[in-house]
Amino acid sequence: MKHNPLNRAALLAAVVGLACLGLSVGGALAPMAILPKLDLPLMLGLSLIALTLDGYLGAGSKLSWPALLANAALGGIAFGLLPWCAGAAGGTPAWVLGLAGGAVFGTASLLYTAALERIATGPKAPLAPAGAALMLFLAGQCLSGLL
Amino acid sequence: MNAKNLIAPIAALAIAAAVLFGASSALSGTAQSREEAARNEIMGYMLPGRPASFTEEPYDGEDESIRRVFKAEDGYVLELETAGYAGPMMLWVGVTNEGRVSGLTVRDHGETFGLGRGAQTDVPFLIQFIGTSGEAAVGENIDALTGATVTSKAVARAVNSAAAFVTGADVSSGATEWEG
Repeated sequence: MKHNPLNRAALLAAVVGLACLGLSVGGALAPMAILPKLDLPLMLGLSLIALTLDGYLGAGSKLSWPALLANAALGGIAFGLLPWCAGAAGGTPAWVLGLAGGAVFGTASLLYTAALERIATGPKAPLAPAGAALMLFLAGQCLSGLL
Repeated sequence: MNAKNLIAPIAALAIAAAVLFGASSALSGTAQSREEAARNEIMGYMLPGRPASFTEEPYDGEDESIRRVFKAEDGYVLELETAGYAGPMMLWVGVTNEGRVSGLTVRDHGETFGLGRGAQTDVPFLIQFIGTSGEAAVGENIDALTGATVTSKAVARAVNSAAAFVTGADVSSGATEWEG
C-alpha cells in the first residue's frame, strides 16, 4: 500500500488528542495537581512522538515540500482545535496555539525528515527513528531554555 | 500528494475533537465539584480554625489584582493576580478578620527556574509574610528571594493588597512597586 504523506498529521491528531484527554481527565479528577502546560517543549515532544510513530510505520518514505507544508498546516489545526475542545488550552487563544503548534510541528517534521534521510534506518537500525527524535527533543529543550 | 490523502488526517482530527468535546462536557460537573472540594481543603489551612466551607463574595472594588474573594467565619481568602518578572502570578492569601495575613500560597506563575520560582516553594521567604497586615516591604521587613527582587515585590504587593481588602488601607509604596 502506498504511504500517505499526510499520515504524520493523522498520527499527530491522535497523539495530541490522547494528551489532551489525559490533561482533561487529570484536571477533572485532580484539579489541584500541577499538570504540564501546552507550551513549546510539550508541543515539540508530542510532535516528535507522532513523527517517531510515522518513522516506524512509513520507514524509508520521503516527503515533498508541499506535503511538509500540508502537514504543518494540519498540525497547526490539531494544536489549535484539540486543546480547545478538551478545555486544556489554559486561557491561551486557539489561534496562538495553532500558529505555534504549526510552526513547531512543521520545523520538527522538516528536521526529523532530514535526519532520517541521513542516517541508517530499516530493520538493521531499529532504534534510529526513536534516537533521532530523542536528539531533536534534547536540542529543542536547549533552544527553549535559551529563549 | 492528492486530495484523497487529506481524508485520514481530517478524519483523525474530527474523531479526536468529538471525543475530547464529549469527554470535556461529561467531566465538567465532576471537575467543578472536585475543584471546589480541593479548593476548600487548601483554603482551610490558610485561616485559623481551619474552616471547612467558604462562600464566594462578589468584588467590585478598585484593586485590579483581586480576582475572587472567599469568606469564612474567621476571615477571607483572596485570589489575586499580580505581575511577576516573567508574567502574571496567581496567589491565594488568607487574611483574618483583624487584617492579619494567616496563609499564603502561590498557585500559578511563570517565574524563572532557580530564581523567582522560589516564590512557590521557599518557605523562609513565604513565612515572612505571615502576621503582616499590609506593611510588608521588600528590603525593610521582607528579605527578597536571591536574584528575584521583582518577583518578591510582586508577592509583597499581592499580600498587602489582600490585607488592605480587610483593613481598607492604601498599601502602594516604593517597597512593593517595581520601577525598573
